Amino acid sequence: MELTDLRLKRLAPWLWEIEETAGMLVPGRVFADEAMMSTLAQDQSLLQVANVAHLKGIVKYSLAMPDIHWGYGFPIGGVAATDPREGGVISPGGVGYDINCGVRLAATDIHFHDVAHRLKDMVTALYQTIPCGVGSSGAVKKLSRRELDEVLAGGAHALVARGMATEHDLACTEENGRLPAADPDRVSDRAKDRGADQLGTLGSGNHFVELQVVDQVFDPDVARRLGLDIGILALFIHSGSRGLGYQVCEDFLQTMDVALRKYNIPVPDRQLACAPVDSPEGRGYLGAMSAAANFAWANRQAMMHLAEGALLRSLGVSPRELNFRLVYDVCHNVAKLETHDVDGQIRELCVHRKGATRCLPPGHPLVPPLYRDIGQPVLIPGDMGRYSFVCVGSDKALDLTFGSSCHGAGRLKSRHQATRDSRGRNIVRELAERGVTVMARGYKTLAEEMPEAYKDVASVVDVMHEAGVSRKVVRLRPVGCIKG
Amino acid sequence: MRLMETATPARYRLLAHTADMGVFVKAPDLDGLLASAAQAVTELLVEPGAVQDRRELALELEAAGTSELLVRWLSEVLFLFETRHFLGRRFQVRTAGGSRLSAQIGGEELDWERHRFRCEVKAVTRHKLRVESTARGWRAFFIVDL
Repeated sequence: MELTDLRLKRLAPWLWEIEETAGMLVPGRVFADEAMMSTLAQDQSLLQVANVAHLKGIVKYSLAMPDIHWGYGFPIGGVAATDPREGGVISPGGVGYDINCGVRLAATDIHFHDVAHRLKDMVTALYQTIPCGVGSSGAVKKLSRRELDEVLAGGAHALVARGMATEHDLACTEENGRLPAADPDRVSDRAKDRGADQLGTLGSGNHFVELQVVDQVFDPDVARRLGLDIGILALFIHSGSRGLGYQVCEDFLQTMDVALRKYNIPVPDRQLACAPVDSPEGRGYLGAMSAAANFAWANRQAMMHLAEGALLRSLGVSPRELNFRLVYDVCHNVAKLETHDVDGQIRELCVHRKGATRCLPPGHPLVPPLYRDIGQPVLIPGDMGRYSFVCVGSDKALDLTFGSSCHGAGRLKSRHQATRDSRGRNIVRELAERGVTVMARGYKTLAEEMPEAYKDVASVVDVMHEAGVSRKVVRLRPVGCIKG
Repeated sequence: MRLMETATPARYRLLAHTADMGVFVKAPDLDGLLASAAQAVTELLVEPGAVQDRRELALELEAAGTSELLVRWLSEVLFLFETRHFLGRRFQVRTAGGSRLSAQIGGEELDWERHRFRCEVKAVTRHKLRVESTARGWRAFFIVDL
């Protein structure tokens, strides 16, 4: 199938359908405005939405969020639900290498204007405390096999005994920071070797720790409930399961490659290799992937703990004055068994989200009691020069997207192009002139990640707001950033 | 079987991919192709030139076919970096039957003072993966997840 074979139909100002053609089992649906669609025609991401529609057991649609961009196998921003009872498959390519890459947002009681003069101290302290960049390791003493297995089984829960997590943190983390399907025995020794000294490390690429300030409030009541009043200093962390997760994905891509032949499953791209959820290979991947997801939750939890120490030291305030607290933690690369109402029938589906955020409306039982009447917080980071958003799940999320929303701005320029465009410029100084203090390990990362390399996240968030999937609550602007 | 040391500079080109990076490699034979591909991946991690040939590691691999052998080999290079912080400068590769490989890698451990690093490579993907023998030698294309 070629890009020119796709037939597109506009269903709403923010929704497009890729009609079902040969080999597709369901139509594709893309959430995007007109300008976004015109840029999508320039790469292969729409073709990837169509390719995902070939997956056995897929239900209703192959979906794409408005931050869709070209990935491998699945597009980034892709969502697909399969029904295990109808031979539905699970695909490591539908999750990606960085299993449970995600974001968490912590708020403080500090108003930024009171500490703006300490900004450089805060950024330096974060940079010195949280290992970042290529080969980063050593934030937490290298874990023994037994300790690592506890993290793989327990996720963020495993850090409570270490004094690095609280019951509040667990309550405010998607799935309470632990997928019960995790099976540490399904994680290879190679994966464990890669992860053993990476707990509490940021990594590189688009991962970051960012100090932000609430600068616009769209819904004052909900903002207050989230502790995000205007001017409040907050901290975003974006990272995942590090080398452990990458290895789990690689291990099971090999397993699934063999499974394709064993179960006679045709796929249009090898990176969509998969197996029935209800098969030894499918169950094996679900167990290992869930364990890697748990590692990622523990990783972000450990970094949040390290960040709290860095802020306390650099600001010279007490824990009570800082009141550093988790607002929420969401994952955006995962496959989970979830219960959904499909045309009036309650079915257990395997929902793949690759670059998409779970998004549940008010009243849903999986929204923590603290937020149940306002909906699940949806955290959508933008680029390091403009802004990020906090939204909450809305009523149409379950009907339209299997409870999913966008996860970020989405790249506009390739890394190559961004690097080319940055020649002769000093990105650190440019950001400083915009009020953002940046420290990065890799000089190349800064060029690749400069603000104009990304779409304007506001337009991405607006599409899901207009669609009634996730509703805007506050906007935050970055003031300090550390990157790998 | 022959012993092949990669030519310097490696014969590869980086190609833009929206979020990641494509790598096109060519060489007179499969051994050289794999050596150059390893050099390309290493030079995505750190600035070339500063890595020194201080000690040698040896490894052997087997895979189902040449394209899978390329992915396994490059995954091994990434694995050595992540678990032992080992960077290669000299890649000597010897293949047999297109599915087995033995290699000696001369290099050193990451030195934060001397090695100016670029970006973490998460994995070598199989998306649009191609390894082929042509009348003008061997060539490969692969996309790395950054």
